[in-house]
Amino acid sequence: MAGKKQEMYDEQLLQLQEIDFVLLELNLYLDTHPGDIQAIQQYNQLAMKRKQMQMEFEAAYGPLLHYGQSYTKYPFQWIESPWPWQV
Amino acid sequence: MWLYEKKLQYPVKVSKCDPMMAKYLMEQYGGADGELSAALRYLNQRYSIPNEVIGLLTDIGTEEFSHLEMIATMIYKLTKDATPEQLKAAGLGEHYVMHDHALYYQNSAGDAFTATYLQAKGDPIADLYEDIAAEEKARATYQWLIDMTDDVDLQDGLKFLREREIVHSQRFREAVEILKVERDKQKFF
Amino acid sequence: MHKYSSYKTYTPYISKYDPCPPMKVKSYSTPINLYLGFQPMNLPQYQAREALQKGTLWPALYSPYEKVKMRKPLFSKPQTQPELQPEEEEMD
Repeated sequence: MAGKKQEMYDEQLLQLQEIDFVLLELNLYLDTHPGDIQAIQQYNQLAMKRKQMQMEFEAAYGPLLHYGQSYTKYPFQWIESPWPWQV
Repeated sequence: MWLYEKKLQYPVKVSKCDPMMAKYLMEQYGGADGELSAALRYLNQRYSIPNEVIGLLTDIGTEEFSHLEMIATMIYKLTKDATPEQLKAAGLGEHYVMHDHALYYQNSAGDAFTATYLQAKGDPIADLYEDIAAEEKARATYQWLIDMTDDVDLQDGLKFLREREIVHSQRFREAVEILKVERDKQKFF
Repeated sequence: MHKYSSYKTYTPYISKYDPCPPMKVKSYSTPINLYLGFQPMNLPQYQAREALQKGTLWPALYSPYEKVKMRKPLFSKPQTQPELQPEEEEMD
């Protein structure tokens, strides 16, 4: 990847990392605050938005998850580089 | 079971070729208070802890694996194109002889990872205090690592990881609060 | 409301027989988790981008580290106090 495509990828990946981080933080918070209804609403809303973002990201850059949790084009996309530590 | 997600939790950037820093970072890869220790410690303790905190141990333990991947990425990038001479100069000559450019679960002094880094007493308060201490020790290690580099991009990733230790410690402290309330009285409220 | 500072300082004993030039002031981190107690509900949150960048969703949990050489002694003269402001968080 280079130039514009790399920039687009970086930005979309960053957006995914951002929403996933908020969800993770809310998750740990809810682990010790299971009765916070507002946090639960925020969690569910973001989880829905996250599903949408995942579909868009995967359509452009390939699957994020394995074991049938993401769709794949032909040939099998899961094995394609770059892996996260290579980017 | 676990799923792998093909992305890092936080973007890791390294701007300087610095194999010596890679050696230091191994403390958080295979060291006593490192990310592997943390992940294994919490995921192992969850089988013998009251139900209220199993979710927390599962979730923090899982997050630690994503931190392990971040540290691995830093070490990988810092050593990827280093020559044997550069590795030798960085104190990684022995590492090269044994492992070439492979990563290995060892600490910054080259000692192999051992299960003796992990504690599991089966006593929930003892175990949670152990976890809080582990988070504080990891936080301190990240401070000393930040002190050891002037690579702003590397510092950025290390600062993220340090802050995560603070949040984890906060949650473990809350878990202690949850477990110390009068459990048998709770049901009458 | 009480104020907290994210590090504290102390002055080690200095002997004239110490071989290295003395570090007159030493400091240690005192992160927010020492003070917060059980996190209250509905605390203000960062936007997603800032949350990821800071490493936490809540400003109340953000407790950054400064490199040693950048830190100032907390007990020195009042004129150094304004520099310490960013280090201090207000909390309930």
